[in-house]
Amino acid sequence: MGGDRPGQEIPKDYRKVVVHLIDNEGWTYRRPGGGYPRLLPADPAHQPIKLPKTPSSQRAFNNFVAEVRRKGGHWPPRR
Amino acid sequence: MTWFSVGVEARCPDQAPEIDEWLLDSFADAVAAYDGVIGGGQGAWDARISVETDDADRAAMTGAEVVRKAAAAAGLPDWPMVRLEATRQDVLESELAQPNYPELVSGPEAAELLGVSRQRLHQLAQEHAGFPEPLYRLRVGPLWVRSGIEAFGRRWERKPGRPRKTA
Repeated sequence: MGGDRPGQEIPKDYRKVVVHLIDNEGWTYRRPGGGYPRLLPADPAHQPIKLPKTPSSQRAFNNFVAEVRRKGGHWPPRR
Repeated sequence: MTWFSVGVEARCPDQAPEIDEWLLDSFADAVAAYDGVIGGGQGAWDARISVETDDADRAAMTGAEVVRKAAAAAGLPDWPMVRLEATRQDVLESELAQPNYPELVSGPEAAELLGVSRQRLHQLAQEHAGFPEPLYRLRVGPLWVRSGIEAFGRRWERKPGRPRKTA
């Protein structure tokens, strides 16, 4: 199946979380031609998350992490 | 006034149609001013935004209203809301600072925590009604939640010596 790897198109703090989820927890990343990139949870029962393309506030980042955790992802890593 | 993070989810009550990507992109644009993150796909959409209000009740109401309007403006289906939660920003931040992995222990680690041999641990797991159930049973052995083993260690009444033989 495979998936894309996140690059400069998403902010660095988001990229760190996304890479962790792809590499360690089976999540998938999709970079569309236009529009917002999508992060697909490992559990398909959960809806994909849209990612911002420009740096956002700390509150927006917290909202993103809260949704990742609600959808079965783990962050921050234990070590 | 205090900042709250408000999570909202709406689901299709019957069939589960796929939501067009461009509608979800419009939804993301519509909540961007509220530090929003959105999701959606097969038969559901969700959003988490930030609002500044006096208390959690008002945050939930305001947040739900903002998300509903943004969803309507983006052209998303008007599905029933199935989840609504408001969390004060500082509470959310302190929760997010903690890893949400359960701390697990293997058999040898559980035995060490309880100060028993591996054989005795196996016996306890088999025979003691109050011994915690493993979270996972892997081919290499069971894994327990560490806090469950620690709690068992605190409530377990140890009886010294060998168990009495029954006829």
